[in-house]
Amino acid sequence: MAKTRSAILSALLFLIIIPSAFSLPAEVVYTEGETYIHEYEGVDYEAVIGDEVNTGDSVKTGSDGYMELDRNDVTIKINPDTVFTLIPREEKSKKTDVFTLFLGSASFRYNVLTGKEPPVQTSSMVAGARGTEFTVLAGFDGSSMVVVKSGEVAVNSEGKTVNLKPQEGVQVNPGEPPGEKFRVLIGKVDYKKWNEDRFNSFIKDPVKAVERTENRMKFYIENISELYPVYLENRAKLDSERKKNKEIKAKEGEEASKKYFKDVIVPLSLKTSNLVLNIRYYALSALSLRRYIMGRMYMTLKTMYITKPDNRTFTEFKKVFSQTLKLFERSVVPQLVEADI
Amino acid sequence: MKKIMLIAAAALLVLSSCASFIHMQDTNTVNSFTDLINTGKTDKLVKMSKTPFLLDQEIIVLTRDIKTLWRNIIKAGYKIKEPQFKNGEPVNENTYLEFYNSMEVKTFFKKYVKKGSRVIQFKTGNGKRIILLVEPSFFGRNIRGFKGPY
Repeated sequence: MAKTRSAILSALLFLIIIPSAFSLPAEVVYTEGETYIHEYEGVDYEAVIGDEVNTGDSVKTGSDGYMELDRNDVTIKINPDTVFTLIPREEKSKKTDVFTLFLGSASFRYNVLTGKEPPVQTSSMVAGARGTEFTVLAGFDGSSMVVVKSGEVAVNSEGKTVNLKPQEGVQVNPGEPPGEKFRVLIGKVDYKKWNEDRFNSFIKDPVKAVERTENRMKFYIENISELYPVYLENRAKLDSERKKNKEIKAKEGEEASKKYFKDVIVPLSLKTSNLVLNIRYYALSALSLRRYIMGRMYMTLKTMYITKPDNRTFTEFKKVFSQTLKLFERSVVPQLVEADI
Repeated sequence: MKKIMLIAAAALLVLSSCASFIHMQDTNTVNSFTDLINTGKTDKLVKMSKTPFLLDQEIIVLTRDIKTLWRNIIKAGYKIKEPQFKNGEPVNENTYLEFYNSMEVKTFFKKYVKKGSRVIQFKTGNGKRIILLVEPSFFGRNIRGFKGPY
């Protein structure tokens, strides 16, 4: 059953991702230091100017790495120690890429505003780009900061939206609504210090930090759990309509079958593939949360407490970590394929 | 000269496939790893470690995190006392279970672990177990995974 589901997922993903990959590539226009492109198929290679980053691919920069991507309407500046991914999803019957940043920081400059700008998501928020230039930071503990240089950006988390204007910023903790807006002096924001503060906040209370991450994981899982039965229902309906179309072809001929295909099967097929796209969007977001936030938290604490494995803070952290991991394995992993790992 | 080189290469090939030679390499790996930990050689450990790296059930993808991993272990004052080699085995399709039973770890072994890699297990003086996942490299062995002490 799991193998069948995986095979169906892989086939649908191929149909969804590959065509869109050719339509929306981002081009590497500048690179320095350690920069890699992790292709959707699982291959890592060193990035050079002229390379294409397609839907489903990730960009990784090392501690001295920096990359600039150009995608017609937007220039993305990816700073050191960052993992940036283009995850596809469907919204209002339209496929779009979501710029996903779970680790590090990146700046976005929209050259033309069309109203169809891809949103930017971190492990704690989604920023709708109505602005022309802004920076997004993803902190060690899963919190985020958005700073606007020009235009306007709508930051949404836990159902609450904060609209940022030029020289305004906001911090969002995972599983919480956006915090209070604050004024920023562009060029004076100390991103390094902000990230150090996030790390220190994690060290001070790792249990609280992992609980917030657990809440965010639950959010992704709730969305998967909501969409998956609808997908199964649509898929069964699609199979049944395909059988029906064969009968129409036999009884009423080629023309009637073609009409039925166009009127019934194509819309249903599109709806089913969009459902897969959105299930995958939540699954890949959950995987990023697991890998770049939870995994790094575990590694840091495990190694810090290697001589004191029975330390109360560490054991409490491990308890929440393990239950979140179980949730992930039970509800998210069935939606992943080997290429995602 | 060419003939001597060929003979030497062939001898090396025979030697490297010999069970006792592999056992010696495995025990050497345990001893040198222990030395690096006990003498706090963070840089050497980082250099020997390759990404993606497996720590228990976690796949570490960034080189920066590898540095943090070994730096934290050394900084915490961790020492390996009286290491006792238990066994070394070539990686097979079930080796992932030694680390953690999950789709992620299984895929890690399938996608990222090189042919010729080995899993080495040893015990420390206080009865804890450590597992090292090592892979062949031109100058010896690289570390691809670490589990323990548990």
